[in-house]
Amino acid sequence: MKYILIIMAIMASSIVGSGANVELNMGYYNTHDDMSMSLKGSNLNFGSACTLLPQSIKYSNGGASIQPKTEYSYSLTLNGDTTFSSAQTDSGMFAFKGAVDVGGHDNKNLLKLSAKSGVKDGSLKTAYGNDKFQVQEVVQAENFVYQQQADLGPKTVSSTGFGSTLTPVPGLADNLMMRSTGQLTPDAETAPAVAEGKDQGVIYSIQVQNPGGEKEGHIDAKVMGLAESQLATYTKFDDDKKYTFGAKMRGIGFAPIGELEMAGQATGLPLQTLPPGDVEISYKDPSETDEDEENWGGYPELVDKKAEEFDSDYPGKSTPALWYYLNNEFTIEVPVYVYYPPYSLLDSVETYQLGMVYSVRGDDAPS
Amino acid sequence: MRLALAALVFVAMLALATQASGVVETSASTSSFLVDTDSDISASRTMMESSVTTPEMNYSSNGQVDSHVLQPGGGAAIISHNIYTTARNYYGILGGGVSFSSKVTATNATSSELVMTGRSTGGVCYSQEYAMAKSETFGMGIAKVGEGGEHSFNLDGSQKTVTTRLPIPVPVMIHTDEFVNKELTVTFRQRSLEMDTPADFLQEEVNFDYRTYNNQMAYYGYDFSSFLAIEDTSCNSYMSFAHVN
Repeated sequence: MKYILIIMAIMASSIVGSGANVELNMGYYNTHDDMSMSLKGSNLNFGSACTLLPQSIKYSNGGASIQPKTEYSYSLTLNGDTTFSSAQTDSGMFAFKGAVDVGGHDNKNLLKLSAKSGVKDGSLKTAYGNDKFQVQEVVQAENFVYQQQADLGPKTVSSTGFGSTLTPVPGLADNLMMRSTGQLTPDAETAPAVAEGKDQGVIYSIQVQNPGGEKEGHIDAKVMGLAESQLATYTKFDDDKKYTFGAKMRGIGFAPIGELEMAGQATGLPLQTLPPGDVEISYKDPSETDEDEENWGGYPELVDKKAEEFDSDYPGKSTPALWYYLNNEFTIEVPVYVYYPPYSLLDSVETYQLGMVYSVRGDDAPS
Repeated sequence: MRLALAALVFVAMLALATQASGVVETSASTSSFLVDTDSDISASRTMMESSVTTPEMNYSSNGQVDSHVLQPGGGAAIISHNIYTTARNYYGILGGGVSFSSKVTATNATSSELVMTGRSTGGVCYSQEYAMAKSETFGMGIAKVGEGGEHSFNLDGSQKTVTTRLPIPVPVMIHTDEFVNKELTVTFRQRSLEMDTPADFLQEEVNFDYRTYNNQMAYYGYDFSSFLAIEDTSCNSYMSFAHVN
């Protein structure tokens, strides 16, 4: 007859911290494995449960904010591998849960953490990652809501985020509807299709670090104006070295959209900026017509002149200048109807879509 | 009875629309394509002037695309440009515009620059006589290439004009404004990209265009995409933007 000795401990804990900072540390171990958990924060609740056996540890916990102004910092470690997440907001929320399942008959080795956070019309700072890849995000939302979720393991990180403006820009929908129907003069009584209201949008930044690969990168994005905007973000780290991260914005609004920009940089690459350039528009009286251009037969001389200008701008060997001239003459038998309808009196609108995605293959990362 | 009346009104409106269907459409394009296998600098400039004069309108545009990449130590480059102009009097609306596109692909590049400039002037003519109409297009391309490597440089151009004859003359209504006899200049100037470390691979593509309506800016917009790779790190960036008056 065999006797099987079972030593089992079941532990449960919970805290609710409102208006005061709380700090909690836990550790469990057996002869094979050890794990620990650390939590700091305010305005949150938290609960955990652990089943500890000589050959296994099964642990799970979770927490969530209970006030719009809240913060937490959490880490979960198993046999030296750490995952962590944190959030701080003045008008938002967070929730997280972690789990460890190690040992047992099937020799499990699970460490995972998932964290959600969001902000509505306020600021949010988040950080999450593991020993090999760390992400920080900062969001400042003006009449804008943003929510993100991160899923973490000891060798993987993935996150997605999405946000949009909370309320429509007054008059924008009417403006677009009138354009679609060809009505280019606003009707003040029925369709206030003019720009009014308060600027809204989001200022967003993401920074990633790959301490093992000694690489880092960041993207800063900003859209602020009388615009209805959306923001999507993405990170993925896997295979111990490879990672990608990116951000995308799109929207439509009354012109000019006051601030619309994105800048990014990663180790080894120069700063990339959007918009990619500037558009300059000017009106003037028509140029005095060049005699050469008036006389179309003078184009060979014009070609020589333009070729000299090009050679002056770029020294070195040039190709021969290639050119052509096409002329088409015909008769029109009757005058045609010319009617100039009034120009559009609607306020101008702008649409935009921009994004950046960085990818690192990890070829040079130390193993 | 009501149905017959409605049908009559519809037919009358149709006839009016037909009378007003003065349609002149003209378009022209110039494309250049440069392949340079080994050069410290690859540059290409493409320009086009096009004009159309008919009894009811004249419209002229010119465009220039200028791009270059620096490749110290030598590198390969492909630069393609296209300029496309349109002008039309379509159902009484005088419109036109210029579309530009540039695509640069280069290895070992440390900098790249791009400037696109277009000028458009539109005006209204009126003649009750039979009139000669004319459309003209001039295109030119020139490129800077390496001293030692092989290269290929092509230039293509085309022009097309379509007119629709009207059955009878109709009264002309001209609404003039301060923009009618002005020359509009529109420039897209890409921010130059400067790199200390040569890019293993660089590809930048810009499509920029603008449209005028009664010689006033009606629309401008661009699509930009860039891919840059140095060693194991790469960046894709893109932006679409449109401004509608």
